[in-house]
Amino acid sequence: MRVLTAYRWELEKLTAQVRVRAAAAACVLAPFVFVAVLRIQDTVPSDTLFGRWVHVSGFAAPMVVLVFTTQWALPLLISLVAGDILAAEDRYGTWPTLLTRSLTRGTVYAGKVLAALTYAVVLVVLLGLASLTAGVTVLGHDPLVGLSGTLFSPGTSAGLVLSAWASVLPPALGFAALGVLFSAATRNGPAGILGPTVLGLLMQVYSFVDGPRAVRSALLTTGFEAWHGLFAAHPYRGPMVTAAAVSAVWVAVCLAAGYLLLRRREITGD
Amino acid sequence: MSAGPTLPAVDDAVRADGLTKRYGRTVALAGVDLTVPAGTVHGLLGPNGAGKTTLLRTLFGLSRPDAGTLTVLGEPVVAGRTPGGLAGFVDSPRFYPYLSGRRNLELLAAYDRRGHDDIDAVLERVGLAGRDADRVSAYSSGMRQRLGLAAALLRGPRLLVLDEPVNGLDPAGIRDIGALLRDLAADGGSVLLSSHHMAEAEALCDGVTILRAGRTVHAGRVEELRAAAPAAAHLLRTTDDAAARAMAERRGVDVTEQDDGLAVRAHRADLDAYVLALASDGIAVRALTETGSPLSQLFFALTEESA
Repeated sequence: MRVLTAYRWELEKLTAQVRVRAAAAACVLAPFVFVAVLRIQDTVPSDTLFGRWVHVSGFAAPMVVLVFTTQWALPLLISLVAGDILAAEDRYGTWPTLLTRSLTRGTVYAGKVLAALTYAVVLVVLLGLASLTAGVTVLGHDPLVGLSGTLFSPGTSAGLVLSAWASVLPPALGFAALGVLFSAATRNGPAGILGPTVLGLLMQVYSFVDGPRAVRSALLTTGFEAWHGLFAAHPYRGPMVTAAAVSAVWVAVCLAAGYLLLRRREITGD
Repeated sequence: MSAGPTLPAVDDAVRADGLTKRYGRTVALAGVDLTVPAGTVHGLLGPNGAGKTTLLRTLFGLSRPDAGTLTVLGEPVVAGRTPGGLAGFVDSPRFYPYLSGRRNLELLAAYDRRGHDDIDAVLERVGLAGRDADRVSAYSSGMRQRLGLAAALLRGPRLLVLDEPVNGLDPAGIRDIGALLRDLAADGGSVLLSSHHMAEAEALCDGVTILRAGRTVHAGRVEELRAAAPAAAHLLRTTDDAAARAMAERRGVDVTEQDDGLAVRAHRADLDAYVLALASDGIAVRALTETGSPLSQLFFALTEESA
């Protein structure tokens, strides 16, 4: 009950902030703008997965949006809240105000973590639904060509697109947890926001290097590509399971470390 | 306001013995002793850096002492947990600027597992009743101070701890807070307030503890402090300062010459007799101004003498 109280008020605080509402609005509107631009352009983003099919099927558009956003935009958007959720109390000087009430640090922390994770889920859901809606309404709902040339019916395509977007939820939660850890460690909003974003980019860079496969599998960003198996002629879900497990470890480690930092911290008002 | 948590009656609202706190090589508290009798308003005085705020943070469980014992309302203080029955603020009270004053109080009430029933009453009590719907970002520093007090009162405290509570307040606000603190003590509550103004403590407090460089240099009732205080200092200007000085020396009154007149240090009765004697000798007094209250002089003597 106490965690729910803290969680409810963290959500209230988030929704009262203009930048949070602006980010959520951007997640809804940006896919429509993107798809409208694709429609009026003669060229297509053919170097991106599904990019060559955007003028053929509206279901290709949400997949292009998925590929684009998971490169850097999604970690940044998630960190906007997660990376600032603890540091904001330092910025406003409100730690003593909160921690001189009856809730424990652990309860306050749990409420904040739940709010950051909720925001990450809402962001992915908004982006996924908005890009699918934009693709279908602006570019049509013709069958989608899969990664190995298989043609998927409109109904199957819609299901696969939604499944692909759902598959990025675990690594998205991992980035939210990473943001919370950066927020606890740096006590600085910009550092908490940019830290996970830069780390995400470094993970992407590592994926281009011919390094050990185990390391690559342990990266959060690898989970952003786990949906590829869904669009094969013979679908496979192993990478999605691995990504979910890896993300769970990232979430657990980052949140435990963030809690230890907060619990041991002296509130000095600095 | 609804009552705070049920706790046993205690003689001392706060008792600290040998409290020590270091930040790296900096010693913030070097064995501080503090006793706040229940039902009194107690002042914690000291210059900047004396350790007042560190001590208050420790009371709230925000900071963990390195040594010493600390009890609040009879219960040992555990770091990371604010003692039940205690409310107040350390440093200046801070709130979420993008929420209204009322919404901030609702949030804090929820964090205390309380309803919203008392919010109107505390807003009325601190004089913010008409401005509670405004965002805190639009509040003046005095209004934030009042909101801080409202947030503390909302907890129904048995011990109110306030860090520089009259900072940013206008004279009416200072008067109101003084009355409120005295009401609280009259109802059996206890108040500990920090300040670096002796006059403020003299006006509001029953007792004071004075800190210097993390150590207790004086503790006692304000009356005891007054008795120990040196004679008041005045600046005297007359029609004949040389004759006035000569008369002071004859009467044993401590007088020294200054550029702008004579500095006179005498207790009230001696000063009155001296001024009357000046008049009877035909020396007119053009100005007699108190340059420092006895308690302020004692405060400076206690906090500025070399360690």
